[in-house]
Amino acid sequence: MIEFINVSKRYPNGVAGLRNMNLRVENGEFVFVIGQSGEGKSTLLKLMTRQEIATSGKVIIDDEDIMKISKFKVHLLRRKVGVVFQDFKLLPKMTVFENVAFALEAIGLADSQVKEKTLRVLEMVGLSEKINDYPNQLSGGEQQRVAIARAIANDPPIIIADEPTGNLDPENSSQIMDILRRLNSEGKTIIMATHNYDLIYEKDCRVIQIKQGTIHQDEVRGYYEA
Amino acid sequence: MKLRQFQRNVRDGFKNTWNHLFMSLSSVITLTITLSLCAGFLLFAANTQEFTRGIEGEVRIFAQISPEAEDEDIQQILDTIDSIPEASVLSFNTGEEEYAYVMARMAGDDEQAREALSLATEGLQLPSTVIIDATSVDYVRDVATQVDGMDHIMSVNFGDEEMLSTLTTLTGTIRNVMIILVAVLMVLAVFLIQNTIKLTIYSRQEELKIQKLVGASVIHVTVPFIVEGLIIGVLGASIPILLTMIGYAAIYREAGGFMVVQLLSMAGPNPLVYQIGFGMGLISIGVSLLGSFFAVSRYALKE
Repeated sequence: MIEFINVSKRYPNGVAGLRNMNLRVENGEFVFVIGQSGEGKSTLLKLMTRQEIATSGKVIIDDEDIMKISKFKVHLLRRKVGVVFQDFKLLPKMTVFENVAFALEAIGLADSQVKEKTLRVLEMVGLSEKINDYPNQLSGGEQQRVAIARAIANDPPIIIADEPTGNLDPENSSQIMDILRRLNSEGKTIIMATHNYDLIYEKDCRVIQIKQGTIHQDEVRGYYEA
Repeated sequence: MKLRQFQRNVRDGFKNTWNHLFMSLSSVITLTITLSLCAGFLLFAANTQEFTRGIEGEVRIFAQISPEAEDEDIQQILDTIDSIPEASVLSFNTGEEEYAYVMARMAGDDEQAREALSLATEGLQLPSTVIIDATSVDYVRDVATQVDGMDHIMSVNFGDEEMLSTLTTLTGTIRNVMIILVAVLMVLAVFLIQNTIKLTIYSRQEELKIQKLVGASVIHVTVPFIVEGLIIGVLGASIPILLTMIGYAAIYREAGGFMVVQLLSMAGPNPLVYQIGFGMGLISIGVSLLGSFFAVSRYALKE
């Protein structure tokens, strides 16, 4: 469970990212976060992975206020929360296999387990044939699938995706959505920020609209009417 | 930290060095150039010191004692000289010893020459000689005058102390300038290397950030950079160390152990080159390790 309690975030330049935000996301939910650029979507997601620290309020994940975690223990939080970015953020000097394996090596798994899990997730996202390619040899859709494979490799219960389809064409976007839906059906909590309202056609999915750093609308609906 | 993780960190350190070859090379070259210059200056300073020591070693006063002096008189002369703070008796040779010394020097092992010389110098009695060491060239004249004033002293001789004094001052100045140059160069090297490493890490901020976002701990992202620093330090020091050890030994051999004239004897390569080499290695590794640690810790701890 993820909970925001009276969370405000003000950046050093005076810009308010979030204003007194209250939000609760249950385990296993698929939540779309929508809103114009600069309204606070990314701030919301960055707070969940401790890329930012709230100016006030609590962000609770698994009964722990993650704003209070020491810098030396943030990695433990990030092992519970997989992240996918719009610009993929793959490590350019590493192959597809190494990019995914890095996340598993970082948590200290044995080489045999690293290999087995890496191959399994790469198969799941349909990239078994490309394990020795470098990111610059892949299409945008493929790169994003590697990023998803990396995010889910160590089986985190929460996946945060910040505009994962932002740089992709409709076909690739639809593939990414299929993967995210499948992960959600396996019980993972998915929080996805998007500009692409066409993607929000899931029945009973939750859509949160952020405006000026607060929740403008929070509805469960069949599709989003802009 | 588990051994497995440490092995991975070391492997990643080597991989990073190779993957960022250009940056690694520029750090290594910076280190190589500055350390080579430092080694050069240090060797020069060591040699200048050796020259100074050599020249100062030449500052001796030879006092001849008249043959009439009794043993007690000689003992008194020696005691009086030893009581002068700026002087000490280096050796005392009786007339016979002086004679044997002159014979050995002139005739060597040649029996015939020895016989001829003995005949030619029959009846010759050399005076006993005291060799006195002054603590510094500046005191030579003073000490010589004092000794000359003593009873039973026949004559007092010493080298051209003004020339020696000028030479000593000159070599002393050169040595001091070299030491200052080395110190300045060291500070410069530290800044250069730290900046190069900072630049390297600055360009890899994004990489560090991604690694942390996918769950790597601060230690897991820091250690490979430290390993990288270590590799750069070792590589950067290797050429200056080899140059010092092999190059200086070769120069010493070629020059026959002295510069231009016999008086300017060179400092022997052993243990000098090992000391400088060890110092270079230590400085190189220390500077790169510290540089990479400070630079990486700044970014590794960012949110």
